[in-house]
Amino acid sequence: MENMEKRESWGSRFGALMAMAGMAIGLGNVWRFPYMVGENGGGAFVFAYLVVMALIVVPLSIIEAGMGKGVGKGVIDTYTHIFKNKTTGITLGGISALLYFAMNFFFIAVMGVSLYFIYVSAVGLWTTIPPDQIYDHVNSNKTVLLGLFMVLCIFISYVVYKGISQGIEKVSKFMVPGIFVCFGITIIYSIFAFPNIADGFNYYLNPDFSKLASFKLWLAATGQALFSVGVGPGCILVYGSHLKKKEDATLQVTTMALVDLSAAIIAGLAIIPATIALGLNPESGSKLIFVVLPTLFSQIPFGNVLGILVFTAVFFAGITSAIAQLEVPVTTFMDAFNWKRGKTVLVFTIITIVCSVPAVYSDAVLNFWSDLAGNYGFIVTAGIGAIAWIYVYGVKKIRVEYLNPTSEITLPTAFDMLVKYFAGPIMIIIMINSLFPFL
Amino acid sequence: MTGGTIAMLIFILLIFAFTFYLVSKTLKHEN
Repeated sequence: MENMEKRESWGSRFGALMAMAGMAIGLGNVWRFPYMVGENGGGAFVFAYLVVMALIVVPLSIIEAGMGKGVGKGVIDTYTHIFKNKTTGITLGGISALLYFAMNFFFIAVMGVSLYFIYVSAVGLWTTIPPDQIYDHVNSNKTVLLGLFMVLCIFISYVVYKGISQGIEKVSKFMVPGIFVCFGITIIYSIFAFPNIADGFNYYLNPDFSKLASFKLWLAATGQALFSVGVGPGCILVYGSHLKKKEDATLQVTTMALVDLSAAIIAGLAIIPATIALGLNPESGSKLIFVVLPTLFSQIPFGNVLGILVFTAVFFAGITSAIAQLEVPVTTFMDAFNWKRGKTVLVFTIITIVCSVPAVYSDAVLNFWSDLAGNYGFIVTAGIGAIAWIYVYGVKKIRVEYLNPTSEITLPTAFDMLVKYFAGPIMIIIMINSLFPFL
Repeated sequence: MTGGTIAMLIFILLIFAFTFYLVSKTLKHEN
């Protein structure tokens, strides 16, 4: 407890909000949410997503942030505090922080590719290489990708080394609004540039409310929302732990979830209607970003400019998440073992380089890290986290002691019931279903 | 554009407006 005074806090409320939003807004907002909206009843999916956000994701996120703010420590110390046992804390907290960190082993490599695509757009590479072959061309240029990876790795490490207010907060205050500006300009351009843009808007948004009766739609919306905001593995916990004691965690987290949703909707508005208007098939995942979009940009006037804007937005969305994926283990190990920030960042940067360089050269290694950390690791640690703060530590204690005293929004007793008997069980079921599909 | 799409665009604008309201509320309390 003696180093509590030295612990860094966010410099401003807006900075904290942008950092939390930057952590939540990631590739899923750009390459998964828009596709899911188009495929799952358009506006009906957005409606279902909002309901799921309000009843499941935001309450769980508030509890996690409250837990973080209350204990004011990293993941290991929080688990130690909850289970009153250092070994359990080191085991559960260490695994959670390390698996969350391991997402960077494939994430930064993908960010390198998206950075390369800013260059591809700037020089209009699609005039010399067919747009559907650009990704293969980029992916074969391993020397450049390795260089980009190293630059990004050093950049991310430097930001985290600079700390909470001077590093992460400053970068997030620039990059998160940047995502909205880049996509916003793209939307305005699309409206005026495509005569049949209305067809694209109809595809993306026309609500088919009959789909609300589909269990699969609710399952998809819940899974997407939980993954997008990042409930469970400890990222909200760690970012919440850097809130000042007087801060309103309930308001901050609610706003963060809505900013995350807005970013996903805006990304969809920027990408999907234009894709449909040009008769292209909107795909999901990396194919949408690295194959469909270059094809789109190659066919329109000012495609270069639009490409730079969209890939910059993708880059900003990804890089702020990558920063969170480094900050979580750094804070956790600093708190647990009294390490200095510089030393901790150096250790994790070296691990990142050792584990990621093979992923730059091999898609098989990249997919391995993606599956291990981004899929299974996230699910397992998120489930453990939810059980720990909801059922072991207790929702009521977090609400009454850590959240309500400093919040404008007084959470009622019914909030405990909502989290314990509805949001928590649903999250655990969704996580189990992601590992062993039974629904 | 269908009526449903227009209704959803209005719904989305309301989401954005509420988000903006919460963000400005955050800024208002800035020290």
